Amino acid sequence: MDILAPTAPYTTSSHFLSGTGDSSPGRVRCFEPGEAARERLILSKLGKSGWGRWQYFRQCFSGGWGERRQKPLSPRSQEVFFSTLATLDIPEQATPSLFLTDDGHIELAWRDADGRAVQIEFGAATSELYLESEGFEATVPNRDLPDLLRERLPA
Amino acid sequence: MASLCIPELSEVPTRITPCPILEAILEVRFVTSTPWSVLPGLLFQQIRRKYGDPKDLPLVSLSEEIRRSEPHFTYLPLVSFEGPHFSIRLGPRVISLSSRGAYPGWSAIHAEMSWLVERIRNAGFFGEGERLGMRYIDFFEGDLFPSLRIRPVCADDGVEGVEISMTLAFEREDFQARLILNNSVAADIGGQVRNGSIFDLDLSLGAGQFDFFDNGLGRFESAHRHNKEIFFGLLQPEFLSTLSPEYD
Repeated sequence: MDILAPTAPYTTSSHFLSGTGDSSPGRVRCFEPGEAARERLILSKLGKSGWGRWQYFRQCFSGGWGERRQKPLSPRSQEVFFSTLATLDIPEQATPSLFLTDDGHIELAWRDADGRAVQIEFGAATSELYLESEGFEATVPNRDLPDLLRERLPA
Repeated sequence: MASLCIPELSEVPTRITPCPILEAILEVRFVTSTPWSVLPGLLFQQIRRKYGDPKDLPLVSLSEEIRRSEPHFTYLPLVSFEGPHFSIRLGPRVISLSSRGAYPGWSAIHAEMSWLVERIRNAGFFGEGERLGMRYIDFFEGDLFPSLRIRPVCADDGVEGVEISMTLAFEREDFQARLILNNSVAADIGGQVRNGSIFDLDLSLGAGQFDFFDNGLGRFESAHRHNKEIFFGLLQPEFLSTLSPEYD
């Protein structure tokens, strides 16, 4: 009774183990109440692969991880990542990738039309933008990130 | 996500009788670099004056590999510490305070949470807050839906006499609310199983909306205010009047 906002995957009949009762994880996912908007956003912007990477990071990298006890995925990094993703225009031809840094930050990267790297690392308090084409690199407080992206990555 | 249009009352009761609250839970989810194996010990050092030894909860018998691979287990507690009036439950990414037995009132819960926040700070394992939540589960005998200002409709007619379980997720200022209404539950109350309905309301904030040690208690206060406004706002006034409401 002490679980707040539990998730409950909805499963299709082909995955039922015993009649219509218990079932194994299926092909249909019911989002945690209140999470649907975030899940829809990442699916629409980064596709199934990006969505899967995020699920993997949040599930498997919550504690110290790796040989050097790297930091767990930062919840605030996720918040900034999602608020930025909502306004970010990633070129259609790009194939964005998600990474988890040793500091527990989410990093979003893709290649521009000329094949040059675009990278955004979302930290808990500050974020970094790197544009290979301009040799530009900057670290800004998270509140200033939207302005920086508008200036450097116009739609 | 949209908000829900909930009627505003000019005055919110401080008490109703009988008290329908089955359980009140204050919870914070977090990340930490500290291995799970030492977390119970770190917390117990801080709370042993008021709480008993850690007791394993069922999930602890599963291997860590299985627990980590199953998303449903991520925020489940693995041990509990029992005190005379409250339980503290701890998992690798969650800690919660819940009422035991009769509802002790918000002042008592707030005071205990205030004490616990300092103990968690002293334990030193809390890395970064991920989610702050408050959940109140209320139980009523019989079908609660006719007494609510929210109900399911089929072809313009209210649905009555069938088992109903519904979940609504909506925004309430900064909070995300998740309301579960069910008119077909069995509840263990004082050792007796009783059939009826639940009004189960969870209010939560995401990582960017709170700092546990800085404003966590204030955020719980806000959650409690919203909880009362939503709960009483959704009761039919005629039904509320049968619950002997008391006002300050």
